[in-house]
Amino acid sequence: MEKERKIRRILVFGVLIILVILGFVLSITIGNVKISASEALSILTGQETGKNAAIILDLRLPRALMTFILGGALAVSGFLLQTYFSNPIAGPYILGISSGAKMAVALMLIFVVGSTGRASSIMLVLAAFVGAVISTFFIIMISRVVRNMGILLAAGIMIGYICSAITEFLIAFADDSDIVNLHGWSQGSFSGTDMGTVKYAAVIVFMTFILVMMLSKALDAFRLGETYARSVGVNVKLCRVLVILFSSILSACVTAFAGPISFIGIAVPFLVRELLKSSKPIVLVPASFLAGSVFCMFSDLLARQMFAPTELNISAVTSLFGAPIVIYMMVRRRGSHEAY
Amino acid sequence: MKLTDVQAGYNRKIVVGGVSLEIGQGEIITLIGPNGGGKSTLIKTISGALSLIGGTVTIGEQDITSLSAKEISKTMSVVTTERVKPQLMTCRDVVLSGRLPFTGGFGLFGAADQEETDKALELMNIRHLADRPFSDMSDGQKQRTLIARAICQSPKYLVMDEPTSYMDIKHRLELMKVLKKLTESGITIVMSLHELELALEVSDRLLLVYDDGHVKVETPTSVIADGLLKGLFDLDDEMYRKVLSGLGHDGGRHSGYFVNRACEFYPCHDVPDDKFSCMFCYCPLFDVEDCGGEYFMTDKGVKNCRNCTFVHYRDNYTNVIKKLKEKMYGTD
Repeated sequence: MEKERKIRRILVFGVLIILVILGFVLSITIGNVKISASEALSILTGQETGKNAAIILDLRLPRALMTFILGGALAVSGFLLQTYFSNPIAGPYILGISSGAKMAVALMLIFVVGSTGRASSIMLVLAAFVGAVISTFFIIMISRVVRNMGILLAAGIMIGYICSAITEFLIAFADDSDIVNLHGWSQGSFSGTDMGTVKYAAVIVFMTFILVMMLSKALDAFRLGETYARSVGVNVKLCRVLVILFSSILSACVTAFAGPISFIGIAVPFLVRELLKSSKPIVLVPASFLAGSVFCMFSDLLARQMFAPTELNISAVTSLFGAPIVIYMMVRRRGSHEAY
Repeated sequence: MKLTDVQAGYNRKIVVGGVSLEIGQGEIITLIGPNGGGKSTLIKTISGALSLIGGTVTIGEQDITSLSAKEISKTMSVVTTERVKPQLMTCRDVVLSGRLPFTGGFGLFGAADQEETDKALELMNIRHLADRPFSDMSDGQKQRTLIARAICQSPKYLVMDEPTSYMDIKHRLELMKVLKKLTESGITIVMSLHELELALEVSDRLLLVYDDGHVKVETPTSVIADGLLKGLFDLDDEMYRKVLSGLGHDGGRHSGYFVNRACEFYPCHDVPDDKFSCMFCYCPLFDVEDCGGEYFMTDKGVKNCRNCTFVHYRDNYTNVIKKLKEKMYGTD
């Protein structure tokens, strides 16, 4: 059994790493202007400069890096929420956390940027974080009252609708330039990413990722529920606060830089659990990150290329692939009458 | 461990109060009493899952409230009645998680942890189930796994809330044996039990938790001698008589039993001498292979029934007759 698991782990991580590299290469080379892999390589190593170099360095590389970072962040954020609510269908999008973050960013864009005309990355992230924390707080309040996970999800979706509605109102009242600013972004898209924001995202996400990894022992204990977690020495209250904090930071970061993206947070941790046949956090967290990156990179690639030059919003693609997986999860849950 | 005037309850509402008790090393203390009396509440308070409302609990020299969860986890392990539903964990994974207090920052297990796990699996007789997914196990097997997990944590104090729940009679008896063995190695056990006969047999002292929230500390003998069960469970005379006879304290009405020590097959059964009865040989199902009881053949060719009293139960009469008919006319 242990041996089998080890082989599985090596295989899964191997395949994920190969897919990440493949996704990266495809993201950089495919587009309106086709650039060969060898040319891309010489551009990346700085041996070649020219028109294509600008396309790669200013457009495609930041975008590829951003999908890698934020896709992973979303998957880990979803994993944390699933641990917190001990509910496999929890995720930042479905619980309305992404929408909360979106609303806060919209508010910030319209009122602050509208008057000062400037938006820094850090302001965006902070606004998204505040929004994410506020809607997470509502969800936690509701989860205290109702233990039924169906109702909890419904409540999350409702919060999502409320936030989206408020965002729509705000857009209706805002000036034209803000709407243009907001509209593309609020659908979820990676277009227009530059290297500066990539740096911000990378620092925030990787620091949080490391902190989550340091929490993996406590998360491991949480698999048997709160009482048993406490009995093996976990400070349950602190751990719960940290889980929510980290998951909010991660989903806020995603929403701030790319807008709300659906289903990666739910579908990816589920798929990874199934592939690894294990729920051990120390394996699951990095595997979820990589798988989330892969999912996001290929979704973004499809969003860019399917109806090029028109770009789809990325949630359209992630929903298309993610939603059936979630439906499958729920059907299987019904079948086994178990909580997962 | 020492409890001084402990008051336990939820949301500042006291459910059980005035519990004072000094527990020695290697003792088994069992909480008995009616449902809703607060056995679980008291167990949860002792294990630190509920905060104390009043009084103190000290472990060694230290007040339990001054200890962190981490420090407590190295001396105390718990088994609760809560039903856990871990995803994709095998029986072994669950037991192994009891070793988490002894791992480093990332919770990775070493060879020593694996060894302790093997021992605990062996002790609870679930080694053959080690690779089974926890979710596929029966409730009794799950319970045994959780107890193995608690044992694996190498505790000084083992605190269990109804550890025998979901278990069949054989495993209950086995568990009692295991607990006895654990106390010999210096582990102190505090638990609640519903089965009075097990509680009386295995415990050093009993903590009687009454419906109104007051408690009494007694020895198993004094509980019977003073007739305390009647008041504890609010029984009428007839019920109490039935309870006592169930516990084997009904004034020695086993007159129908006799022992022929001159018999060439004596002693043919694994039963203590005072419980031995030659009526075993009069079992109508003595020569039925599939008699419904547990037995093996001794080298003298006699059936050794291992405490089987299958035929003595009124509810089994129809089954006994069915078996006899099967033997006479075949299964058709």
